[in-house]
Formats: sequence, C-alpha cells, structure tokens
Amino acid sequence: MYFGGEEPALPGYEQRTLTELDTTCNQLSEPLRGMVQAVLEPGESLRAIFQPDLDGMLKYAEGLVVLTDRRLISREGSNLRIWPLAQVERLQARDRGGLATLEALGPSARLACWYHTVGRAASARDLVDAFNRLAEDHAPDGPDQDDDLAVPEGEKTTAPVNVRSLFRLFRFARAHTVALTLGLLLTLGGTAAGLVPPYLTWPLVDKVLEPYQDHVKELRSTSATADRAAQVRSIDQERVSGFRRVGFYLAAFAGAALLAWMLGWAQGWVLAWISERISADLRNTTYAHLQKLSLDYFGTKRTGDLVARISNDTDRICNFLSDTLVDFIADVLMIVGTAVVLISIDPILAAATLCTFPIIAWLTVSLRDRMTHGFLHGGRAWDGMTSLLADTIPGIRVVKAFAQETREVERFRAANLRIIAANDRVNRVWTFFWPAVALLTQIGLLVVWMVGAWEVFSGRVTVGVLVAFLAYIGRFYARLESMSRMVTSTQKAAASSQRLFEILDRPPGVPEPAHPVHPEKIRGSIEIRNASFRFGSRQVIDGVSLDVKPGEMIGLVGTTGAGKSTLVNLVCRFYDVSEGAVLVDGSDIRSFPTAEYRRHIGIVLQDPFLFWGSIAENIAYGKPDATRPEIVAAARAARAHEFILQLSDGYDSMVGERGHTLSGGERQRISIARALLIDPSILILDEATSSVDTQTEREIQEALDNLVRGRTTIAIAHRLSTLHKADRLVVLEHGRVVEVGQHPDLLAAGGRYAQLYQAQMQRGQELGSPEPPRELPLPAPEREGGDA
Amino acid sequence: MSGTLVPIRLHHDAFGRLVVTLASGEIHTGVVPVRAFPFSAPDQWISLCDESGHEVFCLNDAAELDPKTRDQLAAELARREFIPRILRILNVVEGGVASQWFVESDRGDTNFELPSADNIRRMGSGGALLIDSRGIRYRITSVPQLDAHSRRILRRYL
Repeated sequence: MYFGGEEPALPGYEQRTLTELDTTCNQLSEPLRGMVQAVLEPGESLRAIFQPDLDGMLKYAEGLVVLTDRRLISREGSNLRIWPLAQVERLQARDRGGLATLEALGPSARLACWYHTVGRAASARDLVDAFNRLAEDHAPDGPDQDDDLAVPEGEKTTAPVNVRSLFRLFRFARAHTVALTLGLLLTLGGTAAGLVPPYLTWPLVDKVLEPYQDHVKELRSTSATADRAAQVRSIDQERVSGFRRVGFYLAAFAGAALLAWMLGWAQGWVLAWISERISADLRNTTYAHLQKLSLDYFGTKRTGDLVARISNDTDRICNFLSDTLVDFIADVLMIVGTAVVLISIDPILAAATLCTFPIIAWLTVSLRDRMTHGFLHGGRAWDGMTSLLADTIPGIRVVKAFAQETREVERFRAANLRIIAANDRVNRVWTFFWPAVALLTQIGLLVVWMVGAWEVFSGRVTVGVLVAFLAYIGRFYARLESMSRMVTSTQKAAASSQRLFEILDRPPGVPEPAHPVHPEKIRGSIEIRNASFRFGSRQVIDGVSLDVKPGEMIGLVGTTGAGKSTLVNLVCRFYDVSEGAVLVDGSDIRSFPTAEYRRHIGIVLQDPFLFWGSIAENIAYGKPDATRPEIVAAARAARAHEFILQLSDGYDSMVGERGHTLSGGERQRISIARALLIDPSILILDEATSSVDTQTEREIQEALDNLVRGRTTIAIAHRLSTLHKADRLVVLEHGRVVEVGQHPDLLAAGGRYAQLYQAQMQRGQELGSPEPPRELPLPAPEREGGDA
Repeated sequence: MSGTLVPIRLHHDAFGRLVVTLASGEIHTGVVPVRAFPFSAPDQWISLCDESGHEVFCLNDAAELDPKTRDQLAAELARREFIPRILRILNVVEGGVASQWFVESDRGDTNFELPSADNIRRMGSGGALLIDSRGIRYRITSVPQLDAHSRRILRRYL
C-alpha cells in the first residue's frame, strides 16, 4: 500500500505548486535569482531549490542546489556541477545533532554530498520529495513522537500563627553570635550618633543665634546717638565670632550625620550578611530534614506547598531578619534614647511629647489581631493559588487532553479572586491604621507646640529648647510610625517560621537504630514474619508471613488495593511495620542503618523518574563514582546502549532537554540500568512494565531478565504474563496472603489466582489477544539459580 | 591496554560509505562512528553503528588504533560532527526570553537564536555548551580565555 500524499511530517508541502516555487524564486536575493535563471535551459522548469549553508569542510558557506525537471545542479562558490536526472538514482537527506547532509547517489557511486545545519533540513527534504515525485517513487520519513514526564503531588494543612515561633529562630542565630553582637553594637552606635544632631540645635539657637539677634537689637536701640562707625564695627565683630560658632555647630552636626550614616551602613551590611546565612541554614536544615521524612508525609502534602515553604518562607524570614528586625531594634533604641534625652531637657515638655504614645500603642494592639488574621487569610489564599499552579503545570497534558484550559483559567481566576477578597479586607484595616498613626503624630506635634509656647512665654524654657524638642519629635514619631508598620511583616515572618518548624518538628519516618548492625554482604534471604501495617485506621497489611530464599523470584499478584505495593514498601523500609517484623539474612531490617540497607536494594518503578542531568549521571545515580565501563556495561545489559548512542550527545545527552525527550520504554531501560549498576542483592519490580505497550514490554523484559538473574526479586505485576519467570506466585487479597504456589498448581487449584488468570485470558481474547496468553502456560520454572 | 592495537580497518566505498573490517574478518558497510561520551570522554568509547543503529564494534580508546586508522576515524568523526567552537561573541540582542547571538566561530561568523538561558550548559574545566533553537550545539572551550567583551556577555547567562 502506498500512502504518498498523506505524510503528516511535512504539512502543506504537497500543496506547493510550481507557481509558488516561481515566487520562491522571485523571493531569492537578486544575485541568486540571476544564478538560478542563468543555469536553466529554455523550457526547463524549476522544481526545488535548496541552499546548503556549510561547505565540505563544515565551514559556513552559502551554496545552491537546484532541481529542475531535467537536471540536478549544484553550485559551490564558482564551481558549477550538473547531473542529468537519469544519472541520479536517489537523493537522501539525514540529520543528526544539528548537522544534516543531503546526498545524491548514482547507480554505482555517490555523486555528491552537501552539508547544512538543521535549519535548512526542511528545504532539503522538500528537494528530496520533489525529486521523488519526479521519479514517481515516494519514500519519505516522519519524525518520532515522544512521551514525557510527570511529577508527584499531595495535599495541604494550615495552623494558627504564633509569634513565639520567631524566637525559635535564635537556634539558627547561635552560630553567628560574634557577627550578631557586632551588628547590635553598630546599631547602638548608629542610634547614638543619630541622636546628636537634634541636640545640637539647642545650643545653636540659644547660644549663638538668639544672643546675636538680641545683641544686634540692643546695639541698634542704644546707640542711636552714638558713633555710627563704632556701632557697625561692633556688629561686624559679633557677626564674625557668631559665624565661627555656627560653623562649629554645623560641622559637628554634619559630622554626627556622617557618622550615623557610616554606622548605619556597616550595621545594615553586617545584619544582612547574618540573615542571608541564617536563612540559608534554615533552607538546608529544612531540606535535609525533608529528605529524612517518610514517604507518607509526601503523600499528604502538595509539592507546591513544600516548595513554597522552603523557598518563599525562608526568604520572608531573611527579609524579616535583615530589615524588620534591625529596624525594630534601632527604633526601640531610638525611642528610648529620645525619651531619655527629652526628659533630661525638660520633663513637662517630654510628657507632652509622649502623651499620644499610649493611644498609638493601644491602637496597635487592638488592630494587630485583626491584621494578623487578615494576613494569614491572605497567605492561605496565596497558598491555594500556588498549589493550583503546582497541580496543573505538571498535569498540563491531562488539562489539554480533556480540553479544560478554559476551566483551569477560570479556576485560577477564582483563586486570584479569593486573594483579592482576603487582601481587600486586611487592606481596609491597615490603610486605616497608618494614617491614624500619622494623625496622632500631628496631634502630638500640636500639643508640643502648645505646651512649648506656654513654657516659653512663662519663661520656663528657651526657644532653643523648643526647637531641639521639635527636631527630636519629628524623628520620634517617624520611628513610631515605622514600628507600627512592622507589625505586618513581623506577623508574616511569624507565620513563615511556623510553617517551617511544622516540617522541622516532624520526626523522621523511619528512625535510625541506636546500635546499628552493619550489613556487609547481603545474601538476600527475606523473611516477613507475621507483618501488619496500618495506614491511619485502615489495615493495609494483615498478618503476612513469607519466606524468600536468596535468588528466588516472587511474583506478587492481587487486585488493586490488595496491599502489594505496601508490602514491597515495607521490605524497602519506606515504612516500618506496625506489628511483626521483616528480616533480611536473619536480622531485623530495623537494626540496619537505613541508607546502608537500601544500598542493597534495587527498585524499578512503574513510572521511572529521571533527574535533570546527563544520561550517564542518571544511570550512575545510585553510585556516583561509577566508572564509564561500568555505566556502559549496565546500559548494555539494560538494552539501553544502542538507543543512547543514537542521541546526539550519547551518554552526555541531557535528559529532558529539547530533542532528548525519551519514550516510556527508553526511560524504563535507563532506570533498569540504574538498578543494575548498584548490583543489588534484593530487587523490587513495582509494575515495571505496566505503563508500556507490548512491544516495548518485550524489550524491557529482556533487560529485566538480565537484572533478575541471581538476585532475590519481588515483582509486582498487573499483567500476569510478565511473571512467567517467577519461582513462586503469592496472591494477596485485602492485605492477606490467600494463595502461594507455582502457576500450574494455582491454576489447577481453581482459587483466586485461577479467577484472575481466567479474567485476563478472556479479556486478552476479546481484544484479539496481544496480551496475557503469550508466555503462559509456563514451562515449569527451573528452580534455584541462587548464584550471584 | 595501549600495548595491543585493535586490528580493525576502515575505508570508504564508491558510495562514500564507511566500511569497517573487524578483526574476525567480518565486514560492515555504511557504519557511522558515534562518540558515546562526546563531552566527558571524546576519545574513548567510540562506537561504530550500522545504518539501523546497531552497534557493530565499540572502541574503548582511540589510542588503541594504528595511526592510519585513527586518522581515518578522526576525519570521519569530524565530518559527522558539527559543533562550531565559539571564538568571540560579537553581540547578543535580547528579545524577551529568547536572544539572538552573533558570534565568530571556527567555522566562520554566524548568528543563532538561543531560546532561553537554560540552553547554556557549563561544561567541565571552564567550558560551555550552547544549544540554539534548532538544536545545533556550539562549544566554548574555555570561558576564561575569551576576550573581555565576550566574557561580559556570557556572565549574564552563566
């Protein structure tokens, strides 16, 4: 059958007509069009043009290949080569790793080869197709379609906020005590320096400006009749000496400001340095702890939520520590310092200044709770939105497949609306709060003016004192206002640190033994002794006992939810049994250090997870120091070597990078190579072939057969046919072992296994059977094979 | 290891196809040399694959060949590989996520589109690999040895 015209790989190509090609010809640059037209004979029609962009030495150079209905013409520089079509048997286009070639083949030899970059490959294929149509022989090739990846996810929880969790951050601050002390000293120094300039306004007014003004007035009034020249001289003298003193005060003023600036800079830098390190420590500790948590923790958390905790929340804490906390300390010091200075200058005026303070404090306290809840609510709404993103972006294929883009956009919009609503509520509160504080400071200023004016009139204080007061008050209220603003970020940081400690306070899933037994070489005998496991209130595994000899292969069979995966997870020690025990080589696996024990276990999962990195790194994931011969040997045994060689960068190709998307079967074979490389004594195959088609399954099966040889294997399979090599089949139902035996015996017994088998047989026949009966009925499996 | 030479022979037939004669006398036509570790070990693990991608021979180290065959293999590999080495970055024009790069390479001047900063990979020993939107690779052997202008541009991406 010939499918010529329907090739999907080259959309729109078939419709291209000669007129279009003529326009293509017209679109060519002027010299090129001239060249093309120059080589055409009268009556010869143009069929395709291709411009290779590399020369024979693979250097960038524009060339030209023209296909007409009579000839194939090539031009390289000034070198023109012509072949009548009768001489050309075949044109062949290939590309690999960015470099593409077009070859013209004659009956007995290659006529020519043109190199070009893949950017020109499409037009090379056009030329090949045009040639093939001329030869009335159509043989194009289409690109492959690839599978891609998915990422796991979970759920979320929230809890009330508690500022106390902020104090727990000191645990992380302890490592930086020296720097922290330095930072505080700098803060103190900066604050003290900041208090100097307003203080200087007092003597400036009272000792310099006022006396001068008074003196001049006095001189003018008393010496109306006196010598005018002497009067002028006296004023000049006074002015010069006054100016000198003004200069002194202003210099001190500037000096203090400069000092305050420098200290502030140093303090900011030191504290930012510390907070950067504290938050990095926090991230590291949280991540390290996260890695220790058991699998069920990840089963109940949303990925987006955990990612947000480690990234956003630590960032918030960092900001809090470097900005807010420092400001807060500086503000408290400044306010206390100011108050002390004010009281020492004049207690009555000081009392007037501080009179609005209680009102502001009361306002802050009474609104704080409402703000806290508002911010927490907003934070939860924000979490909802990020979790939505973390859900739908990895699941984008499902979204697109079910054409739910609009609904997802709507869901996102709704989540955003919730954020708006939550924030609107809290915004109303704090937008009221800050202007209210500002109003109170204005009132405070008014009170100080009133009291100050009265005191000046009654001769209690000088104008200079009043001016100094007013200078202080400006700072004082600014500080007060910024402190009230801090309430917000403090509450946010408290919420963040609480979310982090929620992770940190969780005990690791499987505790490390106090007196560990170090397994040297595991032979691979497994004994499951009356093991039970409860997941919440559900009894998943209920008194299972099973003995597996070294090198034996056990097939776990059962309906979904029968507890197969859980049993395997118990053997891997992802969970610990609730009752009973799992023994390997006679020792309870709880007595082994977890990491050491797992080094002897190889796992191939249904959905192989490859990390971002090169293929070689992925294969060597369990043994980072593996040599290249080891990696290649593992890949060969896993039947992955040849397809890896076909990737443009071989073993150095990056997984997940454009053009390197691997198919499900290829990914699975890489994960098998990964398991092979660590040479495990115990092997777990958890539905290793169920996500691929039968053809791929066969390839994987070959790789698996290599892997299984000589290792204790527990294989879970939905398709019973994949268990044909198993020495024993164990049938699980509702967490209990209901049958154990070999395939023919179980079939003959007519129990649960026989039912499952019949059901699959039937379905296989209904489907026209590419499925189960293939390898079954089994040749009675050769027992033993326990040599490693 | 290096003492014994691997007795394989290479030649081209009239169609320009590479023909390998293995030690056993077996002859394979149309083989393609492929480096298994083009970046991490370019001269080791060179595999000869037939047209359908099956490995017919795997050379552990190019040093195990006699000089003539080694040169032939090197020439064949050079013809198969197109990874221009960037000598100088002339200019980079930013446009949203993607950027247009104008570079001077050992294959001549060229320009290409880099889809995102993710498409620059650091390689061992100060090198870098750029992969453009068409999948073509460009190498920089050593970033510190580039001129100051090129380095300044690269620093934005690395």
